[in-house]
Amino acid sequence: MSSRNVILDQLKMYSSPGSSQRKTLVPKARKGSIEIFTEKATGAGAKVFLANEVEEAKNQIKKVLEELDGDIVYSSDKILEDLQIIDIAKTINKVAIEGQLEKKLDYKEIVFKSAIGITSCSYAIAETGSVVIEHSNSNERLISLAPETYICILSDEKIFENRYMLADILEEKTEQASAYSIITGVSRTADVAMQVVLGMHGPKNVFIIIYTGEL
Amino acid sequence: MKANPLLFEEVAKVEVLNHEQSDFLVMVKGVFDYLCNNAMNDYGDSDKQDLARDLGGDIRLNSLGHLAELLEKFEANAIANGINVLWAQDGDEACKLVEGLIDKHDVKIITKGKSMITEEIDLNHYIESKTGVEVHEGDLGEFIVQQRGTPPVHIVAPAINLQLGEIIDILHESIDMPKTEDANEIADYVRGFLRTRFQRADMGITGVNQAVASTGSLILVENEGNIRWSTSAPKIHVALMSIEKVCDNLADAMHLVGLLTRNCTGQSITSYVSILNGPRKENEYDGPEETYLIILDNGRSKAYADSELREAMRCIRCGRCGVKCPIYLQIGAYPYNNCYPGPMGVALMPLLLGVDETKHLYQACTQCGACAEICPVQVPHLSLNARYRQMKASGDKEFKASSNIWEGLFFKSLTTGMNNLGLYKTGLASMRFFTKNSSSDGYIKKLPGPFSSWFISRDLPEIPSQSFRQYWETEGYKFTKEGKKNE
Amino acid sequence: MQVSLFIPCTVDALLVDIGKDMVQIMAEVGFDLHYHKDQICCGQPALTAGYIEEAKKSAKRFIEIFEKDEYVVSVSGSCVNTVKNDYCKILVDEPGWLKRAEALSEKIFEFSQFMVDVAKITDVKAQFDGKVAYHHSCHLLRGLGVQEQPMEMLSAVKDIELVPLNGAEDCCGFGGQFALKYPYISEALVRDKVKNFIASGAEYLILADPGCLLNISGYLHRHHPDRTAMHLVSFLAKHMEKGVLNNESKSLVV
Repeated sequence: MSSRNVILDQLKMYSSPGSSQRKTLVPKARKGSIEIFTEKATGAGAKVFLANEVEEAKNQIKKVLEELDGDIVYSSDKILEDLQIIDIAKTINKVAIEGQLEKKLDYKEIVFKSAIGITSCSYAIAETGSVVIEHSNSNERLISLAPETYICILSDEKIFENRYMLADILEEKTEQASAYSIITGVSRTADVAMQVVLGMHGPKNVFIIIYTGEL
Repeated sequence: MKANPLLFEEVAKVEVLNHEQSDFLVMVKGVFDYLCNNAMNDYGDSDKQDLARDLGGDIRLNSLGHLAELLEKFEANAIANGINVLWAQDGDEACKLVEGLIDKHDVKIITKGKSMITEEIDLNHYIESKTGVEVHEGDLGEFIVQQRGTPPVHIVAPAINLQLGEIIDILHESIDMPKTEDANEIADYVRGFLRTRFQRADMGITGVNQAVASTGSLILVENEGNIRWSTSAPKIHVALMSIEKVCDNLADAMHLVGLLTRNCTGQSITSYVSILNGPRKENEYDGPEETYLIILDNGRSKAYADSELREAMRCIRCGRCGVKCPIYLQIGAYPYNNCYPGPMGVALMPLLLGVDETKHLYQACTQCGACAEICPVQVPHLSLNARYRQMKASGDKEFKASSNIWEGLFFKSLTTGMNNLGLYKTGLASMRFFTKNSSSDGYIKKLPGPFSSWFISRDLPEIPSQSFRQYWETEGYKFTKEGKKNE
Repeated sequence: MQVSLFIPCTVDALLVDIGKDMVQIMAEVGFDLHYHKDQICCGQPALTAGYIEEAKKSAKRFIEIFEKDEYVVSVSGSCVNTVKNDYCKILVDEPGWLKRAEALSEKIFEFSQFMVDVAKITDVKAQFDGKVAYHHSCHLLRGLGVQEQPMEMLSAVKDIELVPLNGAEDCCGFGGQFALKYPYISEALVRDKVKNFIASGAEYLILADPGCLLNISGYLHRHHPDRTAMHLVSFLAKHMEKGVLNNESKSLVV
């Protein structure tokens, strides 16, 4: 008998009757407040900017980029396309590469040598100040991880009140993305004599640019 | 590390004298208490916090009650997501499965996300001795203790007992780090060192915090990014989990994650929570090409048969109990000599290693209940501890408990004596007689025999010439209504 | 009000004074006190060591002795915890006995718990001009949920200053057999407890359990003979004004 069946058979002998399905009562998804999101994300080490329309968003991105050194890698994504990241970069003499347009073989190399990664964001959680990146054929996993600086573009429409609402939304999706990353501020460690160090293996700087309305 | 908790006493005697360590741990306790209490305040007042813990307990109880059903549901959905699901009855089988995957995929470099289950089965050691493949712990604390060659001292903060100076020396010797006392510079150096390993690794190995049955997802929690690296960059991701780490749905998982991080590091949420549904899809540029999940039993299903013992598996490994345990705070992790030091292992290890071999874990406990009181998923530490002591007293074949005849006789005769007034009075009188010469200034300083260890650091009041019952016999009438009337 | 005294073996044999002190206070209040002469031990040592059949014998004997009483009161939080909480667990397979254990569980109280919660007496008319600190015994605090009651009784003492004690809720390291089996860990725990007591600046360390008292006062006598740990009842009895309480509380309790 396979190990699988040995283990499951033993467990089945002593299972409780009835169904395992449970439903934690979660209120219907409600929009979360930008203020709470901003407060919590800032508390976790992110820098948050609010832009009211597309030009302002572009300006914010430009302002952030101007302060930073190094090349940019960004995910191929409708939102980032609309924001014309590549053009913004050009105006300040920066190189911006769309991760997916390059040959597959070079993708990792590009990400590893880029100093700045930009992706959009599918959801956000106000109570914790977290952004939720959906990793599918867009918003690659490493773009928000490998570069020293990460910039996340978030629509205020995507901010929900709490994590339970996010769980319900993801649960109801017919097709799951291959992964989701819930990112809250900058990576950190306190493993050296309890001193908090910001930026361990992940980005040391995280910028979140929230835009309202349509792009 | 090969677990051998029988060495407990030997190690504890040394560690208890390590005042630097215990002073530091007391400071750590203060910091953790502050942070965790603060984080629990997110739920509201203490009643609301109790509700959050109740819900945590309910979720775990549901998982344990329906373990087989949830595992099968999870497995079906995980397979549909493209995850290869493997099962292992014990640590050896799990290690061999990993070894097989290393061979199959021609793996040269492995990076690891912080994981306790791989410590439980001593996976690093197995891989290094059988395959010669490089294994790099990704978590900074784990990385430091890996270089030092000692087991992690705390589940959340593996190197928390190490002083800054020790860490500097370890890293200077092992990876040539220039000596610096700046924590930022130390972290930065290790970041750079591990970065090249993360980039070149062809296998990432992690644990799992919760597996979600309804979606077939693996949920992993961390602050540093070692787990995200290990599950994003290498072509192979191998995750290991023990059978109890499954829950019904994402909302349940999110609740458990909230309790976990609030009681672990005192954060509402950690920097990163990964929800992994499997390997990359065709049009994706990163993420593993293959994801394997090894579901490990390692003695748990045997304990599952007993509805009381199974409660040990409620644990979600936040480690809050350790920071509350007075014994752990005095002796640190080493005496426990297993990967789950403190109350967490006291609750679980007797089931995995046997009751005889782990006797010091549940005996070196004052049953103060601080662990059970704080536990966010209501692990019944005290009843489990009592149960292990009972198994030890009466013997238990299944869980390798053999009783001690002499101790058994002692408690039998003690009980007889304490339930018979004549015997008790005679016993007390003879104790009074035998200790009479040992006392001065109202205190006994030393006694031979089974009580001698009391006097290593303490005196004992001498036995008064009149017991309470004798006092009552002569004076007691004054305090009853009847007596007062007569007076 | 009739009160039956439960005087645990440690108090009967060793700490006789705290038994007398409780009697003195309760007599001042005017309770009608009774003492069952055949009582000995609640069986906690055997239970703690895992000898459950032996513990059951002691439990049954204890129940037979005390079950007819209106209230049972004791100076030992730990022993009360055994009777109140553990008896029901070990007798769970014997429905007849379980019922009797549950009935007794409702009627047995630790001293301060009884005084404050049942008799509604917080102020025993004591006076003490100085500082004291209070140590929370584990079985009182986490077993019986007795936290505020002893502190309230202390705070009601005239002129007293109840000072905070660092780590007041931490175990003192007694743990019955634990202290004998792991004396070096036990010593470290009681050492820290005493360190905190001394740092608190209190004159007395007050507590409400014979086990903790044996441990802490035993350590103090060896290492800091100028310092004193005292049971709550002893402290109150020592500083009580005699004859005042009786007149005031008559209406309450008779």
